[in-house]
Amino acid sequence: MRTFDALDSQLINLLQHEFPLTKEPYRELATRLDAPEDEILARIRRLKSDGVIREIGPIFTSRMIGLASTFVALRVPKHAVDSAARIINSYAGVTHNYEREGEYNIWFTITAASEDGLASTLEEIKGKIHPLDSLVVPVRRVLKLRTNFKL
Amino acid sequence: MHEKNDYEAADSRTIRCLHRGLAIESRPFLTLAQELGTTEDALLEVIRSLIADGLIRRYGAVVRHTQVGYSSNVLVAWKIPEQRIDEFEAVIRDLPEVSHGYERASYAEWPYNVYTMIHGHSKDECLGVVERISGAIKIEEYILLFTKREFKKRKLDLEEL
Repeated sequence: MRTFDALDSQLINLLQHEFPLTKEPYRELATRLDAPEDEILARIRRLKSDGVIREIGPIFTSRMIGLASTFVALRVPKHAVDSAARIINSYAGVTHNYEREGEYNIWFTITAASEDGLASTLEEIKGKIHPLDSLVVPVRRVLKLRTNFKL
Repeated sequence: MHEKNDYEAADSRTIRCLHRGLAIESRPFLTLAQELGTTEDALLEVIRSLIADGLIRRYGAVVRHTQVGYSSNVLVAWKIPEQRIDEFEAVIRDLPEVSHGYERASYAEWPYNVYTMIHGHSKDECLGVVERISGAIKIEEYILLFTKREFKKRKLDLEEL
């Protein structure tokens, strides 16, 4: 497991939870952390190039984006998993795609510009893969959504 | 389907521009504001109002959890009676190891209606959290959907939809 020095840890926490919405946000963070802005910028760039920080920006709720999305599970024979995964991955609206343990062995999330678009894309994917079985489980209610990790 | 499309309520160019993320430079909002033909102050005001309206959940860094010690995770599908979902929600609310909880569509052949994503420093730690939740809610009908392989994980590309 990767370890961080105290300044990195504080910086990561502030970047997630208290990002300043001001003209010079990194300068403000530097002031709070009692470090020069150049060092803070350099550390953030390093955390980003190391893959710790994916990016800095807004986390939109799906109602903001105004799109249709769902979660889909497929049951695919073992020998067909790789080719099915490639087909699913080729769709721009697919953001997550995993092989999982269990009866349904491929699970992916897909988003489209409209409900109709979503339904037709799913039909197209199923038509290419011919899964033994499939489940479509759209969200009924969000119970919890936390996208930050305290260090 | 959508009664009111909030995406249209805010300028879609602004949304797409914000969605691309913030540069790591002294005046990062200036670059975005210039691209949109507006000022930093006006853009910051738009962001603040989107947060106030609940359309932006949070503005800040997105961290790869596997890089900060949460190396293990498990998706769990639970069978929770409809009238007990609020109770389940209360159980997971304060558990830091649970990042996502959703009630989803279920079927006769797949009666699992609630999904949680659980993170830990090890598989055992994840399983411990699952057992704590199961014990607290006194429900033992759940399925562990451990990841075997990650084929894709990326941010939605609004330009390609």
